[in-house]
Amino acid sequence: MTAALARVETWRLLRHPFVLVGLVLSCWLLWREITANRPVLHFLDLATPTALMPLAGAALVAANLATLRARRDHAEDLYATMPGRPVPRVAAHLAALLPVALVAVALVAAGVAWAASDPYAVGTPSLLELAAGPVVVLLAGTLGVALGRLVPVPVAGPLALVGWLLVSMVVFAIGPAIGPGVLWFSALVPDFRPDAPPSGVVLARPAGWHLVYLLALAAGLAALTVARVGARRSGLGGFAVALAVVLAAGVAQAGAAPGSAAGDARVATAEAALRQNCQAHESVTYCAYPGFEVRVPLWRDVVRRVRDRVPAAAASAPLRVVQQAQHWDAASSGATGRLPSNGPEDPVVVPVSWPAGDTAGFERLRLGIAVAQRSLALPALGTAGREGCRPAAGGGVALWLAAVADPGAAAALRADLKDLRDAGPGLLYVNSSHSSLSDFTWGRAEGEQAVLLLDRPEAEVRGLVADHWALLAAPAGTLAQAATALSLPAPAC
Amino acid sequence: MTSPSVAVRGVDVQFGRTHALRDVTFGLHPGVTGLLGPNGAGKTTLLRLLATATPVPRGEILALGHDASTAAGRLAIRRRLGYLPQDPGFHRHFTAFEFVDYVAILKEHTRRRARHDEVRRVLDLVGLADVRHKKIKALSGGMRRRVGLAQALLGEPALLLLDEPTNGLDPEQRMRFRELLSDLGQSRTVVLSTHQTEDVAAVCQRIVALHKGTICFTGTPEELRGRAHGHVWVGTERAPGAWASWRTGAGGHRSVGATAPPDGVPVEPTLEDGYLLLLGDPGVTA
Repeated sequence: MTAALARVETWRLLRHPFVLVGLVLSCWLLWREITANRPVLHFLDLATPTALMPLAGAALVAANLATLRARRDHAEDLYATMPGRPVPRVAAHLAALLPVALVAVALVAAGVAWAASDPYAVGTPSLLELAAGPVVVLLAGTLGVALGRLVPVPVAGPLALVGWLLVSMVVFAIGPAIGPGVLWFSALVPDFRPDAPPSGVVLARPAGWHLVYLLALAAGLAALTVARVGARRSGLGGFAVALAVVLAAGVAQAGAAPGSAAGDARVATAEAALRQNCQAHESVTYCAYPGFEVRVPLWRDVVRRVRDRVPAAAASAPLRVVQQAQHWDAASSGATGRLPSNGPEDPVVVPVSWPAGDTAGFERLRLGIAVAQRSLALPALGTAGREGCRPAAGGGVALWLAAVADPGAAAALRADLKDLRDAGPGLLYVNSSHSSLSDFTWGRAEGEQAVLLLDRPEAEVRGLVADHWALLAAPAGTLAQAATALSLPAPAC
Repeated sequence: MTSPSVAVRGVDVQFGRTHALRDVTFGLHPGVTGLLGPNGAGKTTLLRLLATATPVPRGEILALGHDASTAAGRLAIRRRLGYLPQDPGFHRHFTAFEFVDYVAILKEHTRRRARHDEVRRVLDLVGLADVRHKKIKALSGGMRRRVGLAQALLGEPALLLLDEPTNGLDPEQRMRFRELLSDLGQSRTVVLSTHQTEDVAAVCQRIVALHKGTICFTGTPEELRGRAHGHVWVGTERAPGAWASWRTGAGGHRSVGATAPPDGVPVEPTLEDGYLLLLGDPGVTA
C-alpha cells in the first residue's frame, strides 16, 4: 500500500505549484552561480545548496500541505474507516520526497555538467558538497511532513520556513563569534569568501560529517513522525538512534571545521602544498595554480592586446602574471591576505576566479590596466596621489590601452566613469569581482582622458602615444603635459 | 432465522451530558435497511460506530462476524465495508478518478491495473464515467455525492453504510440511486440513513427508527405504515390534537393523529404518515 500511495503522493508533490515555482527559482539561482564566473568546480559546488533553497522551501510547504490534506478537507472520518492505517500514509508522504530530492540531484548534476563543459572550467567538485543540496531538500520536506503530524495546522509549514531562514541568518551573523564550528549546525553552510580558493582541499570543510548530520536530522524527524502516528516503539527507537548520530556528527563536524585546530592544520597543509606552474610566452611569464593553466590564454589575450599597442622596447620588457589566492580566516569570515606566490615581487596579479559574461569586461580592464601601468612604469597602484587626479602623465593612456581593443573592457571603463561622474568628485575604483585584490584608484581626470582617447581613431591615438611615450612614461611627467601632447583638454585637476 | 450480519447490543454513547445513543440493540440482515430519525436522533453516531470510525464506548457491535471493539475485528470489518459519511471530505484538487483511486489504495487495492479497472467500474455505476477526469471542485453537489457513493462501492463491500446519500440529488439521480441500491441490497447488507421516507419506502426491506438516541421502531416499511392505519384522515378542517396536519393541493386537510376531524374520511396511510406518527406520539402506534 505504501508504494501505491507513494506513487500518488510523488506525482502530486512533483506537480505542486509551489514545487514547480521553487524548481524554477532554483534553476535560475544555479544558472546565475554558474554563469557569474568561469567555473571553479571545487567552489561552485558550495553554492549548490543555497541555490536549491527555493526548492527546499517549496518541498517543506507542499509536503506539509499534503500531509494535512485529510485534515484540511475533513476526510479523516472517512479515512479512519479504511484498512490502511496512518503509518503507510505518512511513509508515503516521506517516500514522495525522494523523487523531489532526485530532481534536485538531477538539477545539480545538470548544472555542474554544464559548468564543466566550459573550456575554462577548472577543479573537481566534491560529491559530498553536491549531495548536501538534495539532502537539504529532503530534510525540508521531512520537516514539512513531521509538522503536518506533530503540529497539524496549515500555518505551521510557512512559519517553519520563515523560522528556518531567520535562524540561519542569526547563525551566520553571530556564529563565527561564538565558535568556529557553530555555523555547521545550520543546514546550509555557504562560503562567503570573495574569491575561489585554488584548491578544494584549502576549504577544509567537513562536508562528509555535515552530510551525515543532515541525513540523521531527516531520519530523526521521520522516525518521530512515524512514532506519532502509531508505530511508537520502532519510531522512538529510530529517533533515539538518529539523535545519537546527529549529536556525534554535529560534534565531529564542528571539530573539523575551518577555524578549529584540526581544520586550520588542514588548511595550512593544503596551502603549503600549492605550487604554481609557470610558463613563458615571449617575455611574459604566467604562473597558475595547479589545474588553472587552462586559464592562461585568457590572461595572455589581455596582455597581448595591451602590449601590441606600446613601443617595442616596452612590449618586450619582462613581465610576470601571477595568480594569487586570498587567505581566508574562517573564524572572522574575512580575507586576511594573499597566499605567497613564487617569483619576484610586484607581479601582475590575477585572482583565482575569472568572471564570465558582462562582468568579465571589468576583470579584463583591471588586468589590462595593471599591464599598461607596468609598461608605462607608472607608480605602484594604490599609492597616494592628489585627490581625484594622480600626477602620473600616463594614467589616462594606461586606461586607454586597457580598453581600446576590448569592447567589454571599454564598456566597463565607461560604466565606471559614469558612476564616478554621478557620484561627484572622487577616485575611480576600477571594479573587480575581487576588490581586495585590486586596489587601483584612478582619478576622474584620467578616466575622462581615456574616454576622450577612446572616442578618437585608434591609429591616430597610437601614433601620438608612440611619439610621446617618453613623456608618458617619465616619472616626473604630469597629466596636464600628457593632455597637451595628446591634443586633449587640460585636466580639471 | 440466520444470524444477523450486524448485531448491535446495548450500545450506549454519551458526549458530555448528552446521551447520543441509549442502550441501542438491533440486528441487520442482508438487504437494505433504512435508518430513520430526525436531526440529532443519533443516526450519524450510530453509523460512525458501525463504520468503526469511532470506538464503541459501551456495548457490543459484531459486524460481518467480527467484534468492532478489537483492533483485529475493526480491521476485518473495514476490509469489507463501504462507508459514505455525511460529509466525505473531498479533496477539491483531485479529479473524481484520482479521489476514488486514492480511497481504493487505502482500501488495499494495491495492484494498479486492477485498481484502475475497479475505479472505472464504480464511477460507471454511479454515472460519472464521463466526468471522471474533472476536478471535484468543478463538479456539482449531486455529482460530488455520487463520487462519495462511488468510493463506498469500491471492492463490492459486504456492508454498505450510507449517511444521507440522496442529499443534493435531483429526482432522476435519486431514481437511478434507488435502482442501484435495490441491486446492491440483493447480496449485501446496506444501511441507508436518511430523512427521505420516499427513499426508504422505495428500496428498504427493513426500518430502524431512532428518536432521541433510542430505537423507537424496528420492522418493515409495511409495518410502520400499517401502524398509521386509522390515524390518517382527510377533512375540511384540521383534526383537533393532530400531530401533523396540512392543506393538500386538492384543498382538504390531511391530518395525522389519534383523533379524527369532525368530517374526516380515513385514508390509506403512507410510510411518512407512520413515521410522523411515530415521532409525534409513539404511544399511538405502540
